[in-house]
Amino acid sequence: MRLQISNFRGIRKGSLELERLNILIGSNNSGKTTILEALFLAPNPIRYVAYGSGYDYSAVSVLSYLHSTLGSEAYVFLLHNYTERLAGIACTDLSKEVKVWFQRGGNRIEVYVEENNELLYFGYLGSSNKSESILGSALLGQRDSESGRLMPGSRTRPINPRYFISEATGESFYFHPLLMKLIWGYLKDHWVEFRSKGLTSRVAKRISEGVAGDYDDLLLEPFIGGTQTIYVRTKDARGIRLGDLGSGVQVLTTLMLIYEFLKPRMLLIDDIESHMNPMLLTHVVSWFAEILKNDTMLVVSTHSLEAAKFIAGALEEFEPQIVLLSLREGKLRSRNLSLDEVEELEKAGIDVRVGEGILI
Amino acid sequence: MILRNLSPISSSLSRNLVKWAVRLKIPLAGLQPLEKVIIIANGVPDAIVCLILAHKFNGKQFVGILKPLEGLRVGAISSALKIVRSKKVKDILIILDQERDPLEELWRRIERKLSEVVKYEISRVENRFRMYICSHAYYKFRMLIVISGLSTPYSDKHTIEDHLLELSKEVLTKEDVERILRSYRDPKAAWQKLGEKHQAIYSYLLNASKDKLKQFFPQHIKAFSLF
Repeated sequence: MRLQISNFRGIRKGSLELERLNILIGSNNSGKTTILEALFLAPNPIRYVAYGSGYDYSAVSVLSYLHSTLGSEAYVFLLHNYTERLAGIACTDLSKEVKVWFQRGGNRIEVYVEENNELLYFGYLGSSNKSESILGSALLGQRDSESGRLMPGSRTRPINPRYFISEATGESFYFHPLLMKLIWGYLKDHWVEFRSKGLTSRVAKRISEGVAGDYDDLLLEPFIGGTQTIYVRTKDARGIRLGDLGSGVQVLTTLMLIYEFLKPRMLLIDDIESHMNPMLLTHVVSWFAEILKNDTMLVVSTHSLEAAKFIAGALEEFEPQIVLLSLREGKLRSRNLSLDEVEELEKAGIDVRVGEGILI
Repeated sequence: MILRNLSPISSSLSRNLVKWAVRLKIPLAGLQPLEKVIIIANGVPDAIVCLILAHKFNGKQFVGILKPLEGLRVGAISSALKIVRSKKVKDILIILDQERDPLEELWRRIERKLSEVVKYEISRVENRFRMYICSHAYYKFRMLIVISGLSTPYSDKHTIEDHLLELSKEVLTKEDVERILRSYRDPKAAWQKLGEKHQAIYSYLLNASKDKLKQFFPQHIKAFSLF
């Protein structure tokens, strides 16, 4: 799959070829997270996604939530330097292509999705977080031949923008440790469905393999103070609060549940090594092998070369690519490295994470 | 047995152990407590063979596996002592290649090294397997040592690959494997040459009967049965 980005977040211009298993490495502000976010938005930025309680989070509002933690507001963060007029994300897979456009219009940011040479206007994002005005049915859009500006037409297309997912990308799911709270909201809201599909027991047994437990199910039950929380049930029917098993186990449990429920075509994981003890990472890698066999595309970012090499080496049969990224004056540059190349460079005294100055 | 990798994830042992565990669908242990540790004193194929043999022996016992970063072959005995000091390990199994050393000379070196670090009594002696009852300060433990290699005529170097190549004759044809062995005259190089067939050979080993395992890995099976 080819990803092209223009004026989106920190990336003014850049493209990347993605394979089935991609491990993004690079210094801080090298574009790793922006690439994951672009891939998360590419199927349709205003579709409902598996975050929060009820159907109240779109993909783009999840990112707005994530970035508002840094004190920024609303959706202007989507535009490069907060000043550009038009940001674009394009994904091409074989003969299929989707383009997502964010166009500034006063205080609003208009959202267009272009697929099969058809430009569709979905609505606009407002000036505060989660303020979105989305149409019930998409409108066919057009380009002004002189200014190049995108404009909604008057003809409707029978597409509900909240449920549209591009054929070129399929569904994508983005995991960032700071989004755990939102994902838990979704899990609790849909718990009956998770249980009725047998996912809670399957994931509990899988988690048992990664820690020294003997669990047979996950339960949603009351906790002190009347709130509800997730417990792992041991084979002798005791309940242990999932939160007491450590952050890494919570992350892995959540990821497994969501993945098994949604079966997204793209799984995007930011900072894969955070919260993960090497033992747990071993089990994550075993799980990755299963999902890669299901034709899921996996894109993970990490600051740990140790983790990158371990994932690439253990999953060698999936022909992983370690993608070294760098961002200079908004231009994204990349170099795909094999594990052997990374190790050869290490022997030569170069840590590839900081060597982009001579490697790209 | 279910193995728990104790080596750093940056090590080739970790990557290869997980890679082959995934490929062969062999579970690895989580954070379960351990009383036994296998030390791989040579290369990666030894660890893969251990992964498979361990999977076929002793049910759900959890066993650690590691390869020292320093001190390979006989030097791995020093690592064993560090492990015994730091954990409540009761049994240590060390697997090393014979390489070009005469067996008696290699056993002499092993026991000289052992006597430098522990007090020991020999509890079992076989051609390529010995078991020692060791003590060091307050610690008492068993050390089982396996020397990999078969008395094959193709090379004077004997390693774990001798066993895998003999097994390969049942997966491929005897003539093909012998041709490669004659042309390389080095079991490691011959095994490398069969790179594309490794999956099939390891899978064959995984599905082999215990009698077959005893035939191709006699000293390893002896050690695993006492471990």
